Amino acid sequence: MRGRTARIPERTVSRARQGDEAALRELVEAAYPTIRRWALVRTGDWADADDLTQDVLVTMIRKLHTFQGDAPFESWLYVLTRNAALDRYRRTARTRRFEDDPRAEREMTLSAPTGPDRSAEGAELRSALLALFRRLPERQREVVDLVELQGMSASEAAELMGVEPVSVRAHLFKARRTLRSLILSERPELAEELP
Amino acid sequence: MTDCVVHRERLLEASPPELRQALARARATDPRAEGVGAGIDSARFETHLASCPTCLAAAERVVEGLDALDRALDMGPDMGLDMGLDTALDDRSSGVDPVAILERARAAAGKGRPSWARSDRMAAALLAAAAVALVFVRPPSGPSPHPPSAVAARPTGPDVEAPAGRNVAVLSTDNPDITVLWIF
Repeated sequence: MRGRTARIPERTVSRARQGDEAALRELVEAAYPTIRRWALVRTGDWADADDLTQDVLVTMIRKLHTFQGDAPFESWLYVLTRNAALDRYRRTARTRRFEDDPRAEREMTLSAPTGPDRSAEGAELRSALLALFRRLPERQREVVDLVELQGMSASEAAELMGVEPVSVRAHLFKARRTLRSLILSERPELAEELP
Repeated sequence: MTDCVVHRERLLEASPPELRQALARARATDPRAEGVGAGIDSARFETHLASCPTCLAAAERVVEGLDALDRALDMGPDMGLDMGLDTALDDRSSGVDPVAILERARAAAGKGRPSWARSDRMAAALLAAAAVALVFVRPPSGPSPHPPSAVAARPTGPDVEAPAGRNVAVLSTDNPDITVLWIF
């Protein structure tokens, strides 16, 4: 699998399935950042992403024995993340409509972490970008993350997401235009000069 | 301005590698020269960027925005989890009570994290993640470190006492040697 999503070694997965604790630790460490990024893409919220990540880690450990190895482990994890997100949505009985929620941008801006090791300007920019990102529909956010940002091909993203490549390309086309237009609109002086 | 209209479409639709390449070449190109891109459209786009400060700035803004978004989505995975994991694993092998292990893992993670990651919410999330990842408790085979009065008797499985102010869920797995504790 191309892109920046780290490939988890099959040997690690195999050993972890057999109860090797060191391998299980390696597996969790390797999967954690990937799952958390996917969770953040899906939820658009840091706190929700952490909760979802926990759900997925629990499920991953409990269901590890069901992983058959006939598909990449990352694909299996992706399905777990998607299902966990759906479960969480059902439990909380709320379906987010990021693009229509006027609170979304403010919430994301306020809840995005900042710290002494990151410049205030950089943190502000990242928060602003995440707020714009939340305005995209969830499927478009997934595609933007996998293809636009992580560098997967449409086919690879389609395999991971369990959809057809043509669907990925269609979502990507819309998402690119929307996201970039939003980025430009954040600098009115640029947008005004571009008809 | 007409050129700007035409090239704005490419600005909105080009792949990130295409956009970065066009930017790099535009910055290095004499505005009077013809573009040297892979195709006619690419070449024209690069030439336009080289000669139009507004579109060049817009392209830079888009690339900057995508980079910032990528960094934003990557933030968080390094919030002291490793330190917590290491501590928990080291202690676990000595047969210490799992709750104590979790407490130490949380403390270690708290010390090692940057201040922005030390909120209760984030700490709880980290603790839960570390707990889920690491506490694979075998049924006790030796004497318990707890005084008898502190541990509730159970017919099977590990004896677990939740840390003050928290709850604990004991999740069985199909592997009899592995039980997952979820502190929340």
